Amino acid sequence: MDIELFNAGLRLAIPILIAALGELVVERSGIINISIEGMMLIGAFFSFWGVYATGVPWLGLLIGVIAAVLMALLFGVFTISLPCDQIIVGTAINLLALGLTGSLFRYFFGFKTTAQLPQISDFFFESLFWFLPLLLFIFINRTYPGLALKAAGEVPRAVETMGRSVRRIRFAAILFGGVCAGLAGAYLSVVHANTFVEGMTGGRGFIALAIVIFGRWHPFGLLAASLFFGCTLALQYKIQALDIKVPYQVVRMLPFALTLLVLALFGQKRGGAPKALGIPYEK
Amino acid sequence: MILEMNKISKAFGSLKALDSVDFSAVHGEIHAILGENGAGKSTLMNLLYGLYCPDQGEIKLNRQRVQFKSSRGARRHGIAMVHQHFTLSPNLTVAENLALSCSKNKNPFFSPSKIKKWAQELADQHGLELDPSQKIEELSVGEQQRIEILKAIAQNCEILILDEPTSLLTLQEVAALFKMFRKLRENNKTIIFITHKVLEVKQLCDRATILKQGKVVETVVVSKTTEEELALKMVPKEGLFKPFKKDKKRSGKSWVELEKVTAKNNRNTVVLKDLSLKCYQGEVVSVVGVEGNGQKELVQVVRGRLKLDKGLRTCAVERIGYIPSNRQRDGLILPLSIRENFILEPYFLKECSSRGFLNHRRIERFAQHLIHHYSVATETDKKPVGFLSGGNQQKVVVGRELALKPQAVVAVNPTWGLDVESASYVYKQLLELNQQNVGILLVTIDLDEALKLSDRLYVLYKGVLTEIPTENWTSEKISLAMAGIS
Repeated sequence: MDIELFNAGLRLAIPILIAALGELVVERSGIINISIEGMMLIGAFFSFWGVYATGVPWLGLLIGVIAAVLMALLFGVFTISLPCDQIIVGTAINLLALGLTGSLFRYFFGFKTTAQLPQISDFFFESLFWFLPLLLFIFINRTYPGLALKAAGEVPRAVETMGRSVRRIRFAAILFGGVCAGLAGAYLSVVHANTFVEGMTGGRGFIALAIVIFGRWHPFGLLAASLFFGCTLALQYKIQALDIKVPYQVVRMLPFALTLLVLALFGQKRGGAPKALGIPYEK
Repeated sequence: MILEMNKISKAFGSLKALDSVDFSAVHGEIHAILGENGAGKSTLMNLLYGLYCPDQGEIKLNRQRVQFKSSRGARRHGIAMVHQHFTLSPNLTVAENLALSCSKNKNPFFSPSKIKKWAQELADQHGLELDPSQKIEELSVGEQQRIEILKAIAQNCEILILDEPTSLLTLQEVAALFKMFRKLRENNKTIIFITHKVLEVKQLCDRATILKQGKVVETVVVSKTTEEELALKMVPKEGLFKPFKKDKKRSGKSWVELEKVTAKNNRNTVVLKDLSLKCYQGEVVSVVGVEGNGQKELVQVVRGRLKLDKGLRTCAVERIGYIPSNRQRDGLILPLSIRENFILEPYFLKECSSRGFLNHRRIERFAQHLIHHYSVATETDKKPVGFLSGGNQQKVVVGRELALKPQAVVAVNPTWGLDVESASYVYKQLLELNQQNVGILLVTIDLDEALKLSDRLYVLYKGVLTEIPTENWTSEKISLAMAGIS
């Protein structure tokens, strides 16, 4: 594989992996958050708006992350404190985010989509891509809060008898997931595209969800899975550019078809999924 | 004296579960709470563990009066209770589980090798062999239980309560568990051991408090008594039971015959050994015994739901009514309505549907009939069964199973948890069917009930059936046979 293709794949994989790592933590705690797509979109819009308004890239990024965390807080209140069905709340937040960012974008920027941002180096995100899996691995396997996180997704009652609060663990996990989704969204608008487009996440949140399964709930597994997916995506763009006589729809299918194939070949390996995933904890 | 419970009373509705019970335990003893089901053993310990609040009486720990609002309070005072369901995380290792439950506000990082060593030392100290790097999901039930105990000890518990800890274990595992208990006793821990198995009390315990119908019969020093004495003290009533005189004879035809049947349970251990049983129509056959001696499997074999390892089962009837022991789990679907629960029986389902669709008018008529006939106390048949009282739930089960005149009935603990009135109702229904020449197999732990209803009586002990001749129908002789002493 040539280095250019790999770099392109890496850039495509960055937002997916960051969002997926957040979701990994959320799912390990026993919650399934299908609204990463929406939280990414929120992060993308608000960081764009923040950079545009303040002119300070880092401040903009922070604003995007805070907005996504607020969304995550909303998700947490509904799924943990009330508790409502996680899938329904997730769907609602996805729809809310799409509508909210679309309306706000038109309100602030009208229909001119040419608002360009200053160039930002992606060094921060690239190092995040390589180091976040390692940090998470250490957190999950070498710290007590990490163990408690793993137990919370497996036998929540066990965590409670150990004198720790399942709700608190799950809330913290959801907020972390919000930070990650916000960062991933911010990368898309502020670093990758330098602008905001309605619905610009284009299903990446859902791909991140799939990557968590593909990577078998393991940080390094997620790293490999997202790189694999990113590279096939890059390959697909390259093939399209080569002007080969294949319908472009077939080429666009490539990353998804390959992922399916890999899942079919290696996916039957048992285990990985937290047993209490998606089940609300009630004392 | 580490623990004193004085004049404890507790009622659930009209049922007096505990009536002025005194209990005490000292440091470094294994104290059994012995009694039959429903004697109030678990209630007493749940009170101590803060799961219930006593209506009357006081609890003193180390001469200090205490009151727990929840189990958390009890744990803070060094009381731990090991339940049947475990609280270990299967995806973590033994060492991780133990370390996690003992880490409070410490450095969040840990070193796997250090906690492994620590867990190993802890285990050695309390006489438990384990590999701390194994994951919990790889361990057997017995091993998990011992780690659960170790976890309680690691959290500085002084009083350890175990509710029927041996019921899920194999003999070897029981031996390992007892070894651990003796080691804990040496380390000056207090163990309270809830059981109905006299043999285990004799093998393991220092003192035993015998409960009967919510009252303390006596607290005895185990070494100064015999198994027979213990067994006799826990039986609700003594003396000769007068079986109902039933004026009828056997029809001569058997409905089920088991010949030299050997069968295994779902964990692949042989639980029924060379067992032969013949049940005739128009006859009530009782199988009594302490739970876990193969009753579950015997019932499955009779109903044709378990593959035989060896032997032969012949069954002359098609429709066997079945009253399961656990009505809430096996007999009913609690969130569904009474009406829907009635038609769970496949025969009724067929009756109440046409061309694959349910006919709700017919179902309603049918449900109303059953509710009326079996006097289920409810205002509507659309009420979820889970909202009914235990007695009424049982009436739904009994109604469904007996309404279509089954050719035979298997009833397992049919009056479990019922008040006297509901229980006698169930008896009446069973005997009525019996009069109509239906064969009844009653599998029960309630001796009283078996003696009242049976024509023939068997004791099931460790997978072996022994028939008790009518002249030996005294509670004494049967209880001894149930405890494996004869």
